[in-house]
Amino acid sequence: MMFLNELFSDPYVLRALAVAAVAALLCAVVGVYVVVRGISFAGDGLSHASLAGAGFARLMGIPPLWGAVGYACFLSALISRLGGGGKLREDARLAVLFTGSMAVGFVLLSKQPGGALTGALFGSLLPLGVNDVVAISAAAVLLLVSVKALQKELLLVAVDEEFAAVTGVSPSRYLLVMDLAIAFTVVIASKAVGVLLVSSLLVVPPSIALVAVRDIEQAFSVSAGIGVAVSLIGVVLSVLLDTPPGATIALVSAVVFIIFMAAHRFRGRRH
Amino acid sequence: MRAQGIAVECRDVSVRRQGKDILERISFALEPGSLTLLFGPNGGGKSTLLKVLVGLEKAESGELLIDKKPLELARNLVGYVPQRVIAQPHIPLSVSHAVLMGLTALRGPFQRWNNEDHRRVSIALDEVELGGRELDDIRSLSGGELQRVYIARALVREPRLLLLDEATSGIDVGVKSSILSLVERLKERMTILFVTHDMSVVSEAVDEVLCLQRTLVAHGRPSEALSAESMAVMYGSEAQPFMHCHLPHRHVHSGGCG
Repeated sequence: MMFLNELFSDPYVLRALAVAAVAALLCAVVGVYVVVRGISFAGDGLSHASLAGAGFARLMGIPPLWGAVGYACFLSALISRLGGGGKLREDARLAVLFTGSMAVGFVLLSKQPGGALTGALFGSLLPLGVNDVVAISAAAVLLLVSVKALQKELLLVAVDEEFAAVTGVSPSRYLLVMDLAIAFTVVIASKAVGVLLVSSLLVVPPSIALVAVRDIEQAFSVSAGIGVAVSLIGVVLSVLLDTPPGATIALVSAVVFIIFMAAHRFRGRRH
Repeated sequence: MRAQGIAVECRDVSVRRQGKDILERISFALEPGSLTLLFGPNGGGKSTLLKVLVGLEKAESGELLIDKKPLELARNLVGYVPQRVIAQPHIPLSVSHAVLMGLTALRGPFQRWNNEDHRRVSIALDEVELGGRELDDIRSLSGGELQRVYIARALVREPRLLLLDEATSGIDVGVKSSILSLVERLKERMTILFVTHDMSVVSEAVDEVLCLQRTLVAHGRPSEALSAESMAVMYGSEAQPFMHCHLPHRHVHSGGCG
């Protein structure tokens, strides 16, 4: 108990908890669209690719977070415009774009001092300052409000693009909005868990929620609850066990996912 | 006053894809409040014509007027029931939410569902005999029930032109009959175009038949349009319609036509 009191009075830990919760909340909400559209690996690839943006930003002396956001948005828009068709399948084109961008990020960040590459890959929750917390929280609130305001349209396009088009709800416009929201989200969440592990927050809570609920609208709040809980538990465990916070959050997510799916299957057999 | 159906006019519509003619100079008019079958073999261009009518495909040439307006100005008057509806196994969606989605474009961004929207959903579900099933997950429904949910999603928009693409394919005879009865009832307040390759859906409620095989092979009353000649053009010289009481009848019964 004493230990927990000490833990929660440490400003570094409190800031880490706040950013982890905000990142998890954002991932959990936006991730519902990622899972429903079946683009979990695109979200993963986008977070890896954002390394290039962070690398370019450091080279030009601007905050890496903004570089990563800008590059991820540019990549999302580019992917939306490329669309399907052609002789090369879309997944092959995405793989080339994502691994190419990641390689650029590796090369640029490896030349930077101060563990920039390690921080980007695995997250850097504990050294965050108050300004970081405020900036990340403000961006997250703005994004959550926008996504909530357009929920009807985004859900229709995610569930049935053809019907959306017939009724005059533009699929290309709302898919672009969704892709930009995903790009912002993966970059913000990368700050907490790192680019290698961000898809654990983006995919695991929504996947559990979508199995647990009877309607997709309920999935947002259930996913948010699971996401925030696993990230807070992950940060506390990482401090207790002296393990990397990002990896610990991803590990807690994976354990929760395995337990939930096993319980769900067991329940299914009994009924 | 109850809403009435609207007129549709299609003039010289042609569609080409990769240098191949899919539809060639299709012209027809649908009378307000009529029930018309768009009939033809698989690959004959029925779905393409329907896609042109709902704006999913652009015609290379020709003109389409719905209620004397281009589609862009008449979109809210059109209800559409797609072919082969299936519930996606990874998406939980309640019956009421699936139907509410039909109202998305009418409400516009930044607006939430209101009581009027929920009232319209209830009415649409009652109409397709799914009242009381609002909270069911659509993944638990049978093929026929799911088809009725998608018809309700089109009806909730209170359309004055209803376009159904193979709405009775792959469902059992009893459900098919109930969907056809529903379509016949809806005719009182909307114009209906029913795309099918199944001749058993022809009934006395059908006003006209459009026979399509890349070009419009025949257009008229069922007994005229579904002639041996038009069947031969669509299906080859061996094909003959099964005529019953001057109509290719959908109900098989032992007595006379009475």
